[in-house]
Amino acid sequence: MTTATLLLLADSRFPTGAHAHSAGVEASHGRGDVRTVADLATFIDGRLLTTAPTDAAFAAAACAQPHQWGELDHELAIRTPSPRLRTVSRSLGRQLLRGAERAWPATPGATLRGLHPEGPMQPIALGAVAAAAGLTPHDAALCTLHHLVGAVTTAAVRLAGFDPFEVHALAARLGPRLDALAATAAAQAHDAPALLPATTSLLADILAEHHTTWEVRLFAS
Amino acid sequence: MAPVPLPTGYWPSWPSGRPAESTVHARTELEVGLDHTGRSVLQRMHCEVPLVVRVDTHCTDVLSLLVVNAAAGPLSGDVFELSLVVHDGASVRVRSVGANLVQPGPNGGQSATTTTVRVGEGARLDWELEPTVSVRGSHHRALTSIDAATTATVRFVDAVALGRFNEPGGLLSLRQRLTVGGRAVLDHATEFGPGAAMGPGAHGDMRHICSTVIVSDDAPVAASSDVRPTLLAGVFPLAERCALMVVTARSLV
Amino acid sequence: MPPDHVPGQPHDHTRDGHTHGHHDGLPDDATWAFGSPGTRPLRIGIGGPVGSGKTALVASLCRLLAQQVSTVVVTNDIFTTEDAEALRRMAVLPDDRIAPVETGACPHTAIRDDISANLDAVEQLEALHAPVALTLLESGGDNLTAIFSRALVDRQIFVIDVAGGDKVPRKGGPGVTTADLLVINKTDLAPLVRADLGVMDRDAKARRGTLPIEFTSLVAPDGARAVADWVLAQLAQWQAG
Repeated sequence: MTTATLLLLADSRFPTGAHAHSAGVEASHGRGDVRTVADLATFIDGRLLTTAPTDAAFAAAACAQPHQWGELDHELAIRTPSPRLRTVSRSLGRQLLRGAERAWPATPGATLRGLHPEGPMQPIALGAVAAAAGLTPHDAALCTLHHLVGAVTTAAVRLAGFDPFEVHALAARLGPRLDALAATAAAQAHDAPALLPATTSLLADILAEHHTTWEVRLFAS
Repeated sequence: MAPVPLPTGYWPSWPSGRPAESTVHARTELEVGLDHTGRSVLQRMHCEVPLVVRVDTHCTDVLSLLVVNAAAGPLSGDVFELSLVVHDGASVRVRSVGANLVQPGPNGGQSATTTTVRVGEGARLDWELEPTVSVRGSHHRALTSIDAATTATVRFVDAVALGRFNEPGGLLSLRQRLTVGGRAVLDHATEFGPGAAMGPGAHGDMRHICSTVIVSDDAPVAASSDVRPTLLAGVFPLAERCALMVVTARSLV
Repeated sequence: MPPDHVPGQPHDHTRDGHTHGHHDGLPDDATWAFGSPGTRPLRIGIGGPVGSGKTALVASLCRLLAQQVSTVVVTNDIFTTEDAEALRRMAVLPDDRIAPVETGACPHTAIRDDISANLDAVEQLEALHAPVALTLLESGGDNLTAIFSRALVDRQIFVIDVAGGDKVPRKGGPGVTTADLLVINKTDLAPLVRADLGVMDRDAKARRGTLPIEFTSLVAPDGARAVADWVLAQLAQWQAG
């Protein structure tokens, strides 16, 4: 059983630098698109239809197919049109390796860093770390989804003072949906990289580029 | 110029749903190349109704092809395939006549369009069809594969309107994969339809989406964005000589 | 072995057991501060509440030291790049030696609980401008509870100011109590805010024992001189291994 390990990797307190990122919530909030918890639920639903299935599938595949990391990294990068989001993903991937190498020394940090000068895309790094920690592709996918929901809810609380109990109730209601999405991603873990999902969010890409020009911002993305 | 094969299974077997009795499966193939004088000419054309293509004889400066939808469509269950090869050194402009309405058919189910484009070394393609309009109740999937040689020049415009005027649209799945010099540089899928897909976490409530793929020496190298209440635009450099530009608007008026 | 002298105004105090002489001008061998091979740059964190004078202190230190000590700066702006921009405007360092890092509304997390982004920025700057001798890391303004992780910085300067109230040293907190150097800034304002510097000194000493304290007025032309000397002494000790 590796549940304790999974909980540690999933824990938002595990140092990865991800606390400085809002998964695009700050950018959306700036447009007035996230004013209530209901808005936040719609926002998360949108991500769960677009970027989340792609990231989760790639994390699961990276866990299951270490020999394909190079191809997986490339295929995920070409599914991310926004250069800013690619840069953010790679810096988060790099930062994850720092903690993962210490926690799970089997993590092949040098290999993963070598995938690209700026570091590996974060879902690839996560899948690889999951494998090094003895976790499954399903675990890797679930971690990815859990992190996404956590980033969104935390950002909403910090940006706009959303009721922390209400947002966590929202997260709890999403549980079964995340489990289902993780199962779908795990079922794709052995697919060829080019066949993995490619769904993107137009707003995520456009607003990420815009957000990076803001003079006043709390989050890095 | 050897084509870059996509992995087996890349194009899913579709459309799903029970095929209607009167579904149309049309495959139109075009090849443009240089004749012995160095002029770009249509070397081969195989048209199947309703994907009819004409040479635009009004255009004298460049070979210009017009895609004419000879009948309404696609309807549910219809599968349209359009293939264009532009051989080394040749140039062609592709336009269409009239918007492409995607409509529900009598028996429901999906309709599908596959567009496959290959552009050779030193060849040029300027492709801009009238928008695809997703009519309420329709369910359509459009796949586009662009395979450009290293020195090709491509401007490929893909426009959709989610619904006719004052109407919501149907379900629309788009996927586009761009390969340059044998290396994939873009693969993005967008799914439109009622609900969260049109919310802030996905595509917003924009009804008109226009994406342009550029493969050119002049391709933008810096990312930029334009964000306004009713319009969003982004310029995304992808790789050397490649960029994607996306414009989404709530209305065109 | 670096020479045992530092530039600066005449003063006489002990830092961690070292005494040092002084004379004006650059050391004879100006390359001593650039870091011998194998010596990582000395990383000093500067923390303290908003408005206490952290950015002014960083700027002054750069002005006083950057000519002879290869220096880079990482700023942790809470919600703007203003600190980094301000430093660039003051032209105390070339622009590319200053890097801002966003902290996602939790400035203390970024310097203490999850230092990944800061470590990344520090390492990138140090590699870009190698050999670097001194890395200054300015935290986003925060309250009195924030401290730097020892994995991120080697020494900590905590800056409070007189206008924050003369009771602040008595309240304590990890910054006041444990920082390697406590800077009490804006002494020129003391009469205006009725702050008793003697009380602050006494309370701070009670909290800190023998750890050093400097009272400064950073608006004065050489206001950061004492702090700069302290930094140079730390650097000398650091490079001696």
